[in-house]
Amino acid sequence: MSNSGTARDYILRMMELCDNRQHEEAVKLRKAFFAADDKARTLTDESLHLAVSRPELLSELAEICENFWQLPKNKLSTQLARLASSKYPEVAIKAARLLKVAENHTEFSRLAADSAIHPAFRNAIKQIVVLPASQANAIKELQFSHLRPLNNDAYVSANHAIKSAVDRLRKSYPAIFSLEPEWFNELFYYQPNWDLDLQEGNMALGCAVLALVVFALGAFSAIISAISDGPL
Amino acid sequence: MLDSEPNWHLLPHNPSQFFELSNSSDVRDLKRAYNRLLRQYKPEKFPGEFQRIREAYETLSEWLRYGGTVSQSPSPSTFQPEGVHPDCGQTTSSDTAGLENKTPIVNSFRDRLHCEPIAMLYRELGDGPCHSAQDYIMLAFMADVTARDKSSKSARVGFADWILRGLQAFPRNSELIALLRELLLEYHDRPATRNLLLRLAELAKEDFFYITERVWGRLIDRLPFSEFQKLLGECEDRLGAHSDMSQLIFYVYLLRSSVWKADEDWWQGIWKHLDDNFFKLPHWEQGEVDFADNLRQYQKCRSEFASICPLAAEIDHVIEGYCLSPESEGDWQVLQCQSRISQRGFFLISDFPDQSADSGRQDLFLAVWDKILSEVHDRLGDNSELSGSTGELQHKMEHTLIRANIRWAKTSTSRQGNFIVLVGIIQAILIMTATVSYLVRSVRSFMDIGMLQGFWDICLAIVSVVLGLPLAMIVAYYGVRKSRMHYGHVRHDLILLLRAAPLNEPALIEFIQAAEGKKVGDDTVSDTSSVVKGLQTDYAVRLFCRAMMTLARY
Repeated sequence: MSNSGTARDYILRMMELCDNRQHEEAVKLRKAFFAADDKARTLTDESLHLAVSRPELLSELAEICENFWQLPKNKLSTQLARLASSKYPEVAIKAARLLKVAENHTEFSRLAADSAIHPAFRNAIKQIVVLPASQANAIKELQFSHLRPLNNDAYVSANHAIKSAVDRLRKSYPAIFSLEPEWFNELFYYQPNWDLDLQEGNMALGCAVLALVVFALGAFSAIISAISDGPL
Repeated sequence: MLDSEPNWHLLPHNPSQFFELSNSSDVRDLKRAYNRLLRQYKPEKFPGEFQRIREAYETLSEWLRYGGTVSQSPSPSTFQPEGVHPDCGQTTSSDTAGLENKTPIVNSFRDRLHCEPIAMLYRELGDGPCHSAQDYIMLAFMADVTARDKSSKSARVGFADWILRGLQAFPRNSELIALLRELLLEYHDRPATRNLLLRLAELAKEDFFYITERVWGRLIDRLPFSEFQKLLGECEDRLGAHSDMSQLIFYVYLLRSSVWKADEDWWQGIWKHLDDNFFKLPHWEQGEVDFADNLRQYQKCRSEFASICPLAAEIDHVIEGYCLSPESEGDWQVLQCQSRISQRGFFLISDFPDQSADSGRQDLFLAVWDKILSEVHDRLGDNSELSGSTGELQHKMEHTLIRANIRWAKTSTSRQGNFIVLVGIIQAILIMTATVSYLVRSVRSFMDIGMLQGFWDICLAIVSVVLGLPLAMIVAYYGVRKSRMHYGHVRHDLILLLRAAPLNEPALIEFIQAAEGKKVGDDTVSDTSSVVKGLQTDYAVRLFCRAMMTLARY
């Protein structure tokens, strides 16, 4: 059956897990133990790391986020693939997202060298795709504020630059576009006149209403005068 | 007391002392102690500490929920010297069968494990009398790795058998129960699960529902309902009249999954049973019954919500999945969905265009969604702090509303409204002038002894006031209403604001109301009441606001 060293490791590890009240991990380790090849039943690294705690995983993930663009691609993918299968949903979701970004590493390298897109916007995209949602949102909002006439006097050129960048992303970097499609669409479809004066056409209506009021007042005065001459 | 440094050395073995609970403490006391600790150890600043507190809380709360007492709560360490707690030196009391004070054989086996063959140790331990629950647990581990020896009486006895034997000898041992609870969840073989459940119903009558609760939660999803019902019936027959209260608590637990799976007759039967015993239930279980009631009502009208847009259909699907899936899988679905909602951003406005949706239905849906979110947030750690100082948020809100006010003032609807108000006011002034003129003339007529003319002028003055003034007021009122900012105009800005500064709904409303009348430059914030009113029936902003709060937590 199993070699005695592995068997001892298994028993000792199970005792340790029970001692720390990690019964869920103990049962998972047991499952992994039985899942191993019958002829050479060994405790794999995977099975021995089952009990890695949530804070450890989160700090590992935070470290990856911080150095995402500096880490070697292969190491990054292996590390993220392991984290993406974590039992902790918040860890798994973040890791799966980062894994998707890592898979498009080449496309990001190509983007970094694309002078048709403003460097600040390129940099913002690289940050947005790896940062936690709460921090990424602040950057998204900052980019958006460049488009708004109330925030930026040079909004016309900013609009042109950002919209052409989004269009280029859609056409030349579809994988990057698919990481944040809604946000890119928000930028693309934003109309500055949402924030601008909408009085075109209102003047005519206003004049018409005013004329009507003046006419009504004139008629009212005429009736009053007619009546005030009295029945007598 | 808890504001000082907690006794970390009491974890994981003595959670009740860690939370400083007394023998009479219940789930509420535990929750209070837990929340106090969380205020001190916020998950984002102390992830390790939070995890330890959370695990201790979960262990203890499940135990207390099933009517366990603090004195019986899970405490000893399995492989520490029995009877004496490793850290505090207090005598433990988890085992109740009278054998617990004997030294477990396993302690001497630990050292021998390194140098003697496991098969021999297994035979020796299995053939001899077991002194403690730890001995049975060690036998279970050894059974996994030892070649089966047909000459030993312990042959063909597997992991689960040893745990069950242990439970027979030490009926309420927390370690055996914890292992069994987890073991049941790993069983995917139907006959094996059935067999184990039926054996447990014979052996562990008192703790049957506590041990098996989660596995029933999975079976209701995996098995055809008739098969589930039959198996539950068989177990209940074996249990007899045992554990009335724990059965009630178990039914409460089953409610949220049975809403989606159970047939009407079964549901009605359980509901009636719970309804009859409602006031016997602890209040936290009553809350769970109320949630199931909301869920049931929502389930009846879910198609209406799901038909609003694809995102609504996705949320509806997540609600069902959350109720039927294991905890971590359900959390995963909710987090994914919240992430999806937050990504939709402005497009939520077109996803949920109708702001006049039935507010009763909307509140029902949100009551269900909020309960689910509160459970997920609880597990992620409560991060109720606002993202920024109050002053900063108030400033952002005022700017947002001013921007909306300015934009609104430029719309044709707003201009028309202002014109109509002006017309109303002019009309009122004219009428008042005419009235005064009539009155003056009537006085002069009376003085000239023109009585009839005088009365006629008074009549005209009265008619002007009675008919003309209300008419002018109606016109002005209509104008005011028309010129008031439409909520639809501010939805976009609220989404932008929430993205930069996540706020929960009550805080958002509070900030909107506080902005009324505030001056920003030359402009004054107005019409906040219409914004608040509109917000209360707006799925888009309400969902976005919740999604941003969830994402701010991780």
